Amino acid sequence: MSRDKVIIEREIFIAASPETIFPFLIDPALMVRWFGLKHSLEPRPGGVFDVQVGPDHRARGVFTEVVPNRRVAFTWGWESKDPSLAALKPGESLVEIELEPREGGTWVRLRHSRLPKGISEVHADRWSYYLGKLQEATCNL
Amino acid sequence: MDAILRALADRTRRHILALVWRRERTAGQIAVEFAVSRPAISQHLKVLLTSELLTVRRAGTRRLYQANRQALARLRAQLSAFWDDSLRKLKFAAEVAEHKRRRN
Repeated sequence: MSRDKVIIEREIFIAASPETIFPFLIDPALMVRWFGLKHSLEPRPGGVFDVQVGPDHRARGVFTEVVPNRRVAFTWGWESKDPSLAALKPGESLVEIELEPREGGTWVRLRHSRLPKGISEVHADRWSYYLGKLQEATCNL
Repeated sequence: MDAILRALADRTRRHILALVWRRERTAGQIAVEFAVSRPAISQHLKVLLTSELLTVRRAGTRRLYQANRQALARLRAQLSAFWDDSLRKLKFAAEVAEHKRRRN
């Protein structure tokens, strides 16, 4: 699969402090509430990042950065029965999540890079779709 | 999506898809690659056709099978949606946690 410099960047504002949000990024008991079914996490550089996302899909990599209440980064790839997903091998791409405190909450910025071209295009599409829905939902509150 | 995932759950069917990923083959050309019986292969082809992972076209008396790569792209899109869903859930879970923390 051909490779290029496509990077996916998304952000979302959460009405909570970085101190509240950060544990959700590294603690399996909290991560299960927003992402994945089963987790094996060692939140330190070089530590395991292994999340069972569905019955046949597992996201695997290693933590590359863990800065309390500020930033987490881990490599990312699939162990999957779907050949097109499995093209993104464990540890191949990089996910960085940054927390930036602001008045009344935190900006959460997610950056997914080192993606094979075909897959990143699909990711970008879905991001836009869901962020749009999120915005709608928030405006109706 | 479930039909697609079920179709992909079987190893032989994944191998069939790989065989016809780039070029068309007849059922006979597919069957020779496997130790299982010809009727078993036909059954697998049927499942793959039903889930739209496979397409078939007639060329004279032959029926040629090929992977439907569009369906696989759709599957990829559906699978990648978990990421987007996740951010939304993180927002909800963290805001609930924040609310509880402030109350205590």
